[in-house]
Amino acid sequence: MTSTTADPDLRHDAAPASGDLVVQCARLTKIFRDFWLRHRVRAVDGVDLAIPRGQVFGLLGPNGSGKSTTIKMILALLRPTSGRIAVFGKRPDDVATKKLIGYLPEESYLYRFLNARETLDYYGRLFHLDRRQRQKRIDMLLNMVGLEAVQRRPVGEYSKGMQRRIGLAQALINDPQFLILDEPTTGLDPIGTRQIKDLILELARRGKTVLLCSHLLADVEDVCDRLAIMFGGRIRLEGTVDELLVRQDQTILQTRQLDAATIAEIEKVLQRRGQAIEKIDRPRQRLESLFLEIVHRAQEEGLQTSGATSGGELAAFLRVQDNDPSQPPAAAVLAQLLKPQPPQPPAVEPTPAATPPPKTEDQSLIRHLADTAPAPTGKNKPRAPANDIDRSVIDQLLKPPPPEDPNS
Amino acid sequence: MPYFRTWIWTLLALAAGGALVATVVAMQGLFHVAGWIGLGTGAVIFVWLLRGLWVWRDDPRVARAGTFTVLTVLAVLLILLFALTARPGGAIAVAGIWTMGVTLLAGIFALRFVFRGNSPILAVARTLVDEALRMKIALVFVILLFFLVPSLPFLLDAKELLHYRVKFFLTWALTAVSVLLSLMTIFLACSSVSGDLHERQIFLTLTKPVSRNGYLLGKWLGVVGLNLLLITVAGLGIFAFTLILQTSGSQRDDADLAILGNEVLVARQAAEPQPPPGMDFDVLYQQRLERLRREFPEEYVQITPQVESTIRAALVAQWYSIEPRNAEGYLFTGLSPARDAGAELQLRIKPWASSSQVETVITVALRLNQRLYSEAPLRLANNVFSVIPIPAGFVDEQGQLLVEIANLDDANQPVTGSISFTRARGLEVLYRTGSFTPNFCRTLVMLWVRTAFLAALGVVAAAALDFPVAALFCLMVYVGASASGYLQESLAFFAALPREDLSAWQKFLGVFQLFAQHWGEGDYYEALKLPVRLFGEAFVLLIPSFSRFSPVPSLADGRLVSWSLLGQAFFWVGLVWTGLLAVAGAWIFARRELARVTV
Repeated sequence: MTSTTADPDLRHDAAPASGDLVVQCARLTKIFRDFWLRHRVRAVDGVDLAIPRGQVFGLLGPNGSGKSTTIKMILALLRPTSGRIAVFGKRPDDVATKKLIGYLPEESYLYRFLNARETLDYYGRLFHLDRRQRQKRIDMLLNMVGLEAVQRRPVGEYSKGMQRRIGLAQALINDPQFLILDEPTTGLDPIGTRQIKDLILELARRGKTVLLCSHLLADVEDVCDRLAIMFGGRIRLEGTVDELLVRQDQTILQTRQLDAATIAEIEKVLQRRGQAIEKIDRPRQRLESLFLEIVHRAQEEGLQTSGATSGGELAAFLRVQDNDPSQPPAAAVLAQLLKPQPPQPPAVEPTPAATPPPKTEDQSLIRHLADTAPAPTGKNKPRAPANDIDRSVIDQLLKPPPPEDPNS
Repeated sequence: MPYFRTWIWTLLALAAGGALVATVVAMQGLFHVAGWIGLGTGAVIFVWLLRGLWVWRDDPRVARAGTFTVLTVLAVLLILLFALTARPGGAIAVAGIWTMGVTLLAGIFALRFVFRGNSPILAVARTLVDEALRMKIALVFVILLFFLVPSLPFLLDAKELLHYRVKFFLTWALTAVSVLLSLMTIFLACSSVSGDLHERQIFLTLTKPVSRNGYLLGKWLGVVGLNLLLITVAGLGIFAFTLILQTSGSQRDDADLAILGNEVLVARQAAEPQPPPGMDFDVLYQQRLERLRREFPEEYVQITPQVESTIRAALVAQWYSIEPRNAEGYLFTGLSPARDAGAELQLRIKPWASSSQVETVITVALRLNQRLYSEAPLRLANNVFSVIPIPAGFVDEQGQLLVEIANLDDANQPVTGSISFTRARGLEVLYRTGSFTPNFCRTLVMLWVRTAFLAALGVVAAAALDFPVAALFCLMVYVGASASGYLQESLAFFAALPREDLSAWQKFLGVFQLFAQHWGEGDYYEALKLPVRLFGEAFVLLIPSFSRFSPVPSLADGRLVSWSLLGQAFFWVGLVWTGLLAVAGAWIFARRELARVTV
């Protein structure tokens, strides 16, 4: 179901009770004034927003739509002109609440004179982490973001992508309950981008809440549970990803490569049911997978780089549980991603462009069809990609057609 | 890093083994052999050290040790070069630079250690120290300090008397340190806070669990900590070179050394003269007024405050002036400590003869508590400070000393005419109350307290204003505070009030009355000067008076920088003014929006 700001009651129909909300904004407005107190910009205009605990919430919108201003008000870097904000039920400037928050701003606002290790140490100390814990987490985070080898170089000498990586690491040093990522993949290479998406998924598995603000719609679509689209300081559309994107009037089948005879047979079945194949296509491997594969191969061949490495496994303190067999460790997920993919079978793709990419960490839908991956257990919401497949459609197709009604 | 550890252990083993073998051999009486063993082992250790420093130069600790080793070797070579070319001054200066450098490095290590805790305030403070050192903000100060202090003693004219040279060195070195440190404090505090706001690092810091006040406090603490370190290093350098100056010199002049010990490298308390018993300025004023009224009955009917002030000033000036063949008495009180200690007192006097050449010698006789100081008349240089030693026995049991000075010039054929003394330190009694070292330490602490205020000023200004505006504002306050005494005098001269010896409130009301009077008389220029003075007085009132707490001239003059003065400086500058700034800064920063329009 899709909802818009025109119907606010519908917009929050799926939202939990306010006690379970991480962020709640009511009629939030921000007007920037000039020296003479004249209204210069109405950056945010009466925004109502509720981010439930454990959700990955995507905030989308073109430049100047008010996303960053909204985030800055949530972080108490700006004060609202009117309206109210509660973060974990407290005022946004409550110092104690900030222990629960991790923030990656749209640019890396780091001290150029500190090296990576000192940077993380500084932010760790702001969270009152003791020395032993800081050192442990710094080691894991540096390994995770692939900056272990350059940890003694001043951050000012880093490339933009490397600075984003250290920015991400600082946002995670407190193992936050609520992570705010403002354009997290800007300046990152595909490895870093993929890693951030994996991280978001992993954090969501742990029941963390993520507010993701990005221009890269595909990235948002890959990881978010719920989306809000802003324009002109207002939320124009809000709902779950499925509500907003799944086309209920079309179906995709994906199989191994079919010969012409089989396709003709399927078409006959469909014709008997008054349907037709609209498009037959062969899916292409995603460029992201190809890139990761090449980098992985180069690393296996022992080629050196002076910059960031591709990054190690997710920091242990950010994982679900190291000994939880039901949860695939992030390293395994990453390794799976980096594995050379078998040639992709052709598939029938009835819809041209509107079909969303599958919401999964792997591209091989056929594997899920054949063998449903074990769903994560536990109290956290499972995020298995099996949701993308409606098995009943296949079963229905394989059943013999009902006898035709002689009266028809 | 197993090989790294092997290198370290080998280094230690070589040193210990070499020392042990050399000691054993030396105990056998084979000193030459022991010396060669020591030399050989030293060479091996040095090569081994260099090898390790090169191999593990990527390790930051090794890199630091390498830098230190290279600089030490360079310093040793320079010292040897200067020593071999018979230039001991250069050798001492290089040794001084090296020692100050080592002290600074050790101090930085200690400071970072002190700020190592997991408190956010300490984290902010430590990052500021790193910023100051790595962004080269403190570097200019450190370079100037390192070259100025060790080289200044050798830039002085060696033919000059030693006590003048030491006095000059103390004055200029401490003034330079104070000014440089103040400027560095202002620029560091302003640039750090406004840099965080401008470059938006504050987005990351203040979205962590640290309060805005905690952030400002951390910045202030960082600057104050760094200042403490730098002023300690500078102080050690100045103190060491003062001692070097005192003990060096090929031609020793005992009298000069005695003056140095008694009048410069000492802490002396001063006593100002008071009217002697039987002399009452109120009575004298009435007598003078009656006389004037008799002589000018029409002019002195209505006595305005301005007239009264003029008459009183004339009476004081008359007291400070002695006609030929006349004498005047001056009472000095509170001298019991000197009497109890049996310490010698000093009458410091700068007479000025009204009708003589500068080179003229003034002849006076002294009577101290009714006892003649010496049978022979004293011959004093005109318009020059002379110090007359006075045994403690002249002071009476109440700690008082009545000094009567007789002008022995011939009244009929005057050579010098009347003699007078300036009120500001032209006539005073000094006595020793302490030594130079604690006096020097108190001076450094007082200078540090001033920088604590400037650090707060810089942090608060940058919390409200952008960097250039904040820095200029701080510089204005600093100059105003340093010259507050001069400013007040200038304002009083620019727009004179009838009487300056009134309370602030009376002066405030007096300004309006005088303004109305000038305006009524059509003297608009004089009238408009008064609001300017009022504005200037308000500015002086709003800034702390550094000139009240200026210890350098006192120290260089061998005067006591007392605990009381230090306490007052600490209270007024360190607590009251800095505290007021902190409150203002907290208020401003709590209301400031940290982000700006980005839509």
